[in-house]
Amino acid sequence: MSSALAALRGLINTHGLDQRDPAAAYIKERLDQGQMSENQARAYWLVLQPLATEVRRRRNRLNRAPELDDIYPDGIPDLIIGELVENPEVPVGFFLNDNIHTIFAGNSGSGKTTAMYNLVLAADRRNREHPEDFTSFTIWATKDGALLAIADVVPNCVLLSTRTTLRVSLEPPEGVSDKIWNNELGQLTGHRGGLKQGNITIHEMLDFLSVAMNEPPSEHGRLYPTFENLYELSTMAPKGVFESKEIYQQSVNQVLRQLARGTGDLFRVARGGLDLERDIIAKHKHLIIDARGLSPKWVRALTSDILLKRLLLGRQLSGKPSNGRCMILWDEAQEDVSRQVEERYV
Amino acid sequence: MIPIIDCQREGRSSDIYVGLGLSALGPVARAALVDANYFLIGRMQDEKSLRETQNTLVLPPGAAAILPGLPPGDFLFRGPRWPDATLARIYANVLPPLRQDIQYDTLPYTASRSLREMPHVLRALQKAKEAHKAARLIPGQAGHARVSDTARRFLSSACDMIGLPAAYIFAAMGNVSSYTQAAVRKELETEELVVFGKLRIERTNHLLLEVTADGYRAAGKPPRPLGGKGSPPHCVPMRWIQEVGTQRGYQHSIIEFKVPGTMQAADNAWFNESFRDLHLIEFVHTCYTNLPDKIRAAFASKLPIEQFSIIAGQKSLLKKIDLFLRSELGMVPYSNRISFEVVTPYFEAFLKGRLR
Repeated sequence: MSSALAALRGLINTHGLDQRDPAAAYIKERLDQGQMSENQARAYWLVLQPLATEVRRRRNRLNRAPELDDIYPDGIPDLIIGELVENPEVPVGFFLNDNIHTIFAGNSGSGKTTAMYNLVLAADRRNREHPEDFTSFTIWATKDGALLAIADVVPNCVLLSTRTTLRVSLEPPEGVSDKIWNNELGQLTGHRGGLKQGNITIHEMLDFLSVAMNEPPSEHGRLYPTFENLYELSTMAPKGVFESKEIYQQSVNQVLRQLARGTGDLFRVARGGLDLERDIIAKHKHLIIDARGLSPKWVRALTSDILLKRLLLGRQLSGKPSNGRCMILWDEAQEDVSRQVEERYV
Repeated sequence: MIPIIDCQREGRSSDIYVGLGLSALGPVARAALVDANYFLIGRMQDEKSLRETQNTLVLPPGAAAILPGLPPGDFLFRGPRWPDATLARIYANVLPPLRQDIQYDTLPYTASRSLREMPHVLRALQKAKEAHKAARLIPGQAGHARVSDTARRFLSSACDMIGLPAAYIFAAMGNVSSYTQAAVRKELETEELVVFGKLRIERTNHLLLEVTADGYRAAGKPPRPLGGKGSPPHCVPMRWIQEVGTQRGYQHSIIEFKVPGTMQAADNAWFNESFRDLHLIEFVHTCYTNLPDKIRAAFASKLPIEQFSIIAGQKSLLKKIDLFLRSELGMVPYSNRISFEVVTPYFEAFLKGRLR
């Protein structure tokens, strides 16, 4: 073999460039097939040299990779999604007994979505093997909707779209009093909408409407106000009826208007609509929400907040046994849990 | 706390677990990272995220520098079973392509209605409005009391001391600073409980006022309207003039006296039985363009008018009115029957009667 071809092969193998870059993988494939001239090899060497320099500059300074017995003395994980690079016989995955709160971080194209997909596939496999220990998934697909395709692969998936079929009512979860729920809802709306004091106003308006709308009780069951109803009320009520200070009315009005107008039919529900516990987890199903196009971002975050808070509060306060394990996956969640938002919640 | 982070904290007890996909770690709330148990950190390039990864995963010095060069599918993995982060490669399961004709599911729900279609809600809102107005002045309901104690005392006094300028009411209340007086006026005006207006009498400005129907209701006192038309600087002096008429022994002293057989009304009228000694009075605050019509109507009627007075706060204004009337056609026959007076003696007589 000529020196140029050998040098190119050495460069690729030494730094594992074919694993890192699709172009390098293609070049190696052509090398292996003997389809490359010496001149081409020199040209490719020049192309791959910066990548090799980058790999040398960023060499692995991590501590040693564990052996199988080191890391899993009591058996391998329940949900396996990959393997260690330096020790491929050691699987990488999750134990369901651990708190499986997970951070999938990385730039676009780093493989986050694939990692989530692997997790869902592993959980689906486990659900089939152990139906008594079911793990339900709720997935918020926001960016490019790639995760929506899971519905074609995993059975028992409910697919809803925030633009068309998803309906969310503001009613409290089963077993939770209106007062507690209205307070939570006021805080969620206030914090996500950037209101400093308006959460109390929204709380008071919810208190008023939740009583007034059911006096006398409706024959269709208990009705609950919507954001549109709150906006109507805030425009009809004179200043100061629901606000501790009149200056709050304008900002509350703006937030409610944006919610009423920006969410279309999503919240135009007096009763029923999606309840994660009742409609998904208790029925051993999975949910995928297509949230593409729901804007502004704080409205999208508020929608997920309401669904999550209802689930959490229902489990904490209803006094009923849990319907099963639930894992909620958010794609592109950095703005929903940003430091800026966290400061508002303090 | 953000509900997502709340779920992380309460995860074990509530069996809810959270997986967050993040394209950068730098701007993410620290609480979201603290409570996570599993980390899969892929290729990232920004300095803040590298630093955050270094700190969160407690990497050996400089180890985060590997992140920008990681190929797709390779992650720094750390779980609860091994203290160090290690390089992991996830299985290359490829997501099926996204179909264009996605069929979405539906769930049952009851659609909402507008509040305007719910009369019982509108009735409840009306009640709430009324209760709100009443509650604003009830002591002890601090959450709803929109008016201060001083304003409440002023309102109560104003209901009793009808016709007196604000300064006299504040004086009766004790030592109230000018700053507090201005604040009280603003509060009561904002709440539409009292209407204020300034009247200049000679060289002094007097703040006159009228308590509104809401004001009387809020103070829990029976309403006693002033009776005249217009703003307080017009109808309060009419009240003074009415009381002075009574003091002077007229059998009738009337505000807004309707001239029989005409559409006009005089601001005040004093007279005895059968319109004997009839004295008609017009008080002018600022506008006097309607005076010729009123004068013509009064003298054209068959009433035995003894005297017709035009009263204003300042002599300069009276002079202007005199000039105006002389310039009006048809006013000449009446000019020697009209007298002009400043309101001062009426004001003083009223005060004398009140403060006696």
